[in-house]
Amino acid sequence: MRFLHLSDLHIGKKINEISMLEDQKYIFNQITDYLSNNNIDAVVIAGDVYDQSRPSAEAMNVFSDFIEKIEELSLPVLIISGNHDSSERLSYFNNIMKKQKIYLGTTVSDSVMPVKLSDKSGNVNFYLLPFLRPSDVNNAFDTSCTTYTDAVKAVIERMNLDRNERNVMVSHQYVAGASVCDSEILIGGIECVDKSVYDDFDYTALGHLHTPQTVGKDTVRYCGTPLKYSLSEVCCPKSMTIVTLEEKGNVKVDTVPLEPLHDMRKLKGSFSELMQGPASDDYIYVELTDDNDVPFAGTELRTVYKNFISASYSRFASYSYFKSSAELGTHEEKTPQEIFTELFRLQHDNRELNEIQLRILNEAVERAWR
Amino acid sequence: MLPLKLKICGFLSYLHETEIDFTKFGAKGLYLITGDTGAGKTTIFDAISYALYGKASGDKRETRLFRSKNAAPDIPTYVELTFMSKGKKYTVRRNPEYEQSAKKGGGTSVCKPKVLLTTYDGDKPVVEELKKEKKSGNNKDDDRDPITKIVGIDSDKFRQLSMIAQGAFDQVITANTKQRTEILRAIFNTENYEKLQNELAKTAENYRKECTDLSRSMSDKLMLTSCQEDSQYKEKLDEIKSVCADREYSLPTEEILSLLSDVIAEDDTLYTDVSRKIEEISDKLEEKQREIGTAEERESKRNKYLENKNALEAAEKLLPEAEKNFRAAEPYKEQASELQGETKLLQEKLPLYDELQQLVSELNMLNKRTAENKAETAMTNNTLELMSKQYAEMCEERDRLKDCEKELVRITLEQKMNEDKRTKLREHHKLIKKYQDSRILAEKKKKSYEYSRNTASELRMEYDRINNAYLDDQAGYIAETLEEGKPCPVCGSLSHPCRAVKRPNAPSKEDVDNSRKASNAAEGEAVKAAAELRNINDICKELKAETDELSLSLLGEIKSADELMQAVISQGVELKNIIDNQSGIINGLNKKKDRKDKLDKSIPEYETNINRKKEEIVSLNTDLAVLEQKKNNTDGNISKLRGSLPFATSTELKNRIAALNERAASLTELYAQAEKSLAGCKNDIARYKAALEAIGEIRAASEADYIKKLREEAAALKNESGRLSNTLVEINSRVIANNAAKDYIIANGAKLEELREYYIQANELSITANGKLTEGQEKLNLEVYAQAKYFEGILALSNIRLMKMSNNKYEFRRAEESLSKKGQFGLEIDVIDHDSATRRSVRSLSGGESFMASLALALGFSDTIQTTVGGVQLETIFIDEGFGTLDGKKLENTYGIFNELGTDGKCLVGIISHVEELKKRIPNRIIVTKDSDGNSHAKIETDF
Repeated sequence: MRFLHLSDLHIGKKINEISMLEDQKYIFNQITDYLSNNNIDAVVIAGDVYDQSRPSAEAMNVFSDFIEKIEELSLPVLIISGNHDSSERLSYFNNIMKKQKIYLGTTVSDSVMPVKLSDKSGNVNFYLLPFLRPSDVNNAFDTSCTTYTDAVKAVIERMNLDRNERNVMVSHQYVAGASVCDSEILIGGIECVDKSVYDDFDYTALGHLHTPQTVGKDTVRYCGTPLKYSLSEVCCPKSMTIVTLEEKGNVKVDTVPLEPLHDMRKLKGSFSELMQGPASDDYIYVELTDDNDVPFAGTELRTVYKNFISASYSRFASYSYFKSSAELGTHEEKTPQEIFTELFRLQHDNRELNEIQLRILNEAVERAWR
Repeated sequence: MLPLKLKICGFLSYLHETEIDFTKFGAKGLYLITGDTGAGKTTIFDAISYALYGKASGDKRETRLFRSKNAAPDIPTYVELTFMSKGKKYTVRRNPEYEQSAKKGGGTSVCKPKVLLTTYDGDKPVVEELKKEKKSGNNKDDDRDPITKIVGIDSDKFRQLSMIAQGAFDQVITANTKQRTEILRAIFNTENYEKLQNELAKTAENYRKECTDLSRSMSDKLMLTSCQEDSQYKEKLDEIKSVCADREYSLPTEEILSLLSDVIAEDDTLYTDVSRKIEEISDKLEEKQREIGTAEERESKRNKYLENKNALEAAEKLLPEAEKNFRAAEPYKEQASELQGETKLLQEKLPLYDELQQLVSELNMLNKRTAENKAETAMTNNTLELMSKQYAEMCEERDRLKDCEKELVRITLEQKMNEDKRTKLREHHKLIKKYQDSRILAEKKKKSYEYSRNTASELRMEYDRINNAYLDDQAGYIAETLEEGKPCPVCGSLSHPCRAVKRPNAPSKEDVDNSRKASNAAEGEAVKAAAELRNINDICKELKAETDELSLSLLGEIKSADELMQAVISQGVELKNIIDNQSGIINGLNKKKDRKDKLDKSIPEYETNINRKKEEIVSLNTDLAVLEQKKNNTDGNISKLRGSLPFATSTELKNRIAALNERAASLTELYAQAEKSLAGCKNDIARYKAALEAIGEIRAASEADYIKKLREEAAALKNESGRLSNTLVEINSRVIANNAAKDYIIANGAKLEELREYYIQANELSITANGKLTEGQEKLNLEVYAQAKYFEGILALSNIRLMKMSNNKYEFRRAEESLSKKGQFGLEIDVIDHDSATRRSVRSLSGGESFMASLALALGFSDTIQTTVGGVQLETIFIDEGFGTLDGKKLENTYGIFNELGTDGKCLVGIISHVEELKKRIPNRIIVTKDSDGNSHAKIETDF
């Protein structure tokens, strides 16, 4: 069986108020074209379908078009809700969808029953585990897990895996050891799940992190977002992941690159240089090397780059621009007299204090600091 | 100040006790307080602020309104906050004034506002009630209320630094320099700079004062200078003085000094002149005085001479009269001595009067004693009469009682006899009684014998019967034992066809035996009884015989025992009566005997007394005779003496003597006086004559007028001299004053210059330090300048966050130019807008941007405070709303900041917001809900 592993569509996302919907539509069309031209048996979407828990109408339309097209190809679709989704909304018309082989994994308690698909080698059990927090697991199974790892383990224990069959886990968590980028919102180490919990699965289709990567072994994989959504993603090209399950124990993972409508690039240079062009419709992050602020740089640059996102100055990037807090708070040990002298010079055109004034000042300092 | 646990009860919308345990969130990181509008979210901050400072978080709520509106009187109102500060745990519990149900009885009582502070000594809580103390206003540090000291900052700074209240967040960024100064001072301890400012100001002020004082005193001294009325320098001096009238010394010193010298010199010359003149006058005066002296001498001599002459004439006139008087007084002398002789004679007669007196008194005494004697005699005679009467009576009585003794003896004897009789009667009585008793006993015995005999016979009969029956039934018994074929013991027959039948109630052998026993016993009894009866009867007989004897002897015939008994008894009674009677008589006789004995004793005594009294009377009479004799004698003597005296009493004699003496004395005196006056007169005349001779020659006419004229001239000279002396004094004082002024100016002129210089310099320092420069520079004081560096540091820290939140658009800068040139300046904030490359005041930011900027600045402050070692430690920040003003990317960026705070933030950040997204992003939450009664409930949720 071959299935497509997608995740983190973030339909409806806006970057700096620029809607990515068009690009998302474009990429979905690319995906469905690929599906119709290739031998794929199922589509797995591992969470974060929408960007917001209350997606806009347009976003919902885009997604419904996408699903419709897949459904027209009679492919089963397996979807789980991510941390950005509202799991309740996503499971809208859940049971009806099931009849159309569109499976929505949105509750922890339902996740212990797999979606059974089959191929010539037998059954393939897809366990759809939505994004969970320990409290969700505690509420569902009356456990008292305190860590994410324990929570996921608790759910997996109740799945009663048949080790003789092929089991695929679809999960939306932050697995320790993976690399993050700017567009994720994480709460740091607390959220981490240890990758060992997924050991019993033949393949774990992960969502949540936006960079395509494997964690530990090849069969535990984030497929990444279909589009670049932040500055830190401009470097690596996006892809979709194709997983081929042969008989038990034989798993192959391939990637197929995705070409976006508009690439996301970063340009660095001085303002004048960049204004030269070439003009582009790509999403551009600009890093200006100018030493001084350029008035309304953004507006100007947008005339050349239609989908200009934002500009920042190189000098802001270096952390030394902002003095470290440890240096602050001390007056570099200046004596009061020195400080006063500075003030005096400032107010009186750099004139120095004469002898009499020095004497008076010293005496006053002594009295004040007694 | 890190809150650990908060308990609210009866406070605003939290009616019932609500507990919020902040420790569930840990000591760092982020938590969200969320809920519908009006649910009670800000109230949690209000409660914390109230617990610490007694005030709400914003300014909008008065403390009196804190009590829940729905609170029944039995629900208390209080807020209790447990928190950590500088590593120590504290609990403060505060309640406002409110009406609560009274503990006793019904109704309500007022619960006073109270603050309880608990410190922890190890684990032991130590509770202390904090009273409101008066502020003395001097030492600011120790005046702060204890909780402020513990937290480190007062409520204003707390509000500014760690609580960003709803709608008030822009105060954080738009605070002016004055407000910022206070906060920075608290954080960085820059008070000493402020002190330095004050010290410099004080120094300048001191110098100014010294200058003023010195210049005043110099002016004053100058005002005291003067010169002559017609001096050439007068105009100039007056000019100078008029300048000095405003007491400011600012004149050219050299000029003044030379002027003064000139004036002094002028005065010196004048002084010498005048001195010389005075001397001249003084000489003239001396001469004149001498002339006056001589003239006066001559004049006085003349006067004396005339005086003496007049006196002499007067004395010579008096002489003849004095001589006449003396001649008249001559015979008085003789007369006086005559009188004196008479007096002497009379004196000799005085002692005789004393004698007379003595005799008279003797006579009186004798009379008295006579009277006494007579009285005593009479009394004694009376007593004697009485006593004789009594004696006669006593003898009579004694006679009467002579016979009683005899009688007594007789009767006593009789009584004894009767007693014997009585005893015998008693014996009789006993006997009769014995007899009677025995008769009764005999009866009894007889009866018992009869009874026992009857019983015996009955029992015998019974026995017989039973026996017979038994025997009769033997057959039956035997018949019972018969067995067929066995021989009958009775008849020996072997067959027993017709057996005897036992009677039903046939007695057994036992019965028979018993009956026999009983019968025998009864017989025995009867026999005994018979014997006893016999005994008794015998005794009875004996006794009867005796009694019959007695009866015979007593009554003469034999009577029955009872009758006899009665007779005995009645005799006995009679005898008793007689005996009693006799006893009585005996008593009476005894009494009489006693009386007789007494009388026997006392009668002779009485006789002796009577005799004694008679003797007394005799002696008294003898005495009386003697007294009479004496009296007669004394009488005779008295009349004799009286005859020989001239006067009746000594007093009359004394008077006469005195009168005579007086007359003699007066005569003597008259004589002496006349003699003296004559002598005196003669003396005077002699004296005056001698004086006249001594004086000798005189002037014919008086020189008085001449002298008068001379005196007038002298006086005029003196006046002149005096006037000139005054001028001299005047000149002198002028010179002194002028010299003084000159010296003073010399001494202090330089000093004044110096002081002026110092003042100018110090003033410059002072106004520089205090930011009071006037010529268009910024009003920047030293403390602010010192703080500016720190402030820039804070701004730099804040910029890190602000740039992140605003997508590298905005940065803070410290403002270098103030908008208005009024008020202190130096700690205001500008923002640089990188997009438009402009720099503008922070007040130009929009609402949402202001919130972002406030947040960044507040966090910047908080970070700085964590790293400065000061008395302030803010481990917590509260942000009340404001997130609604952020949009899209800014909100995203803000989450980024919060995530940072959550992980490596240095404090606990509490956010109130109803923004939906935040709920999802922030796992630690306090959910506040309001139920239909309007009461709030808070619940902690942590999901991770």
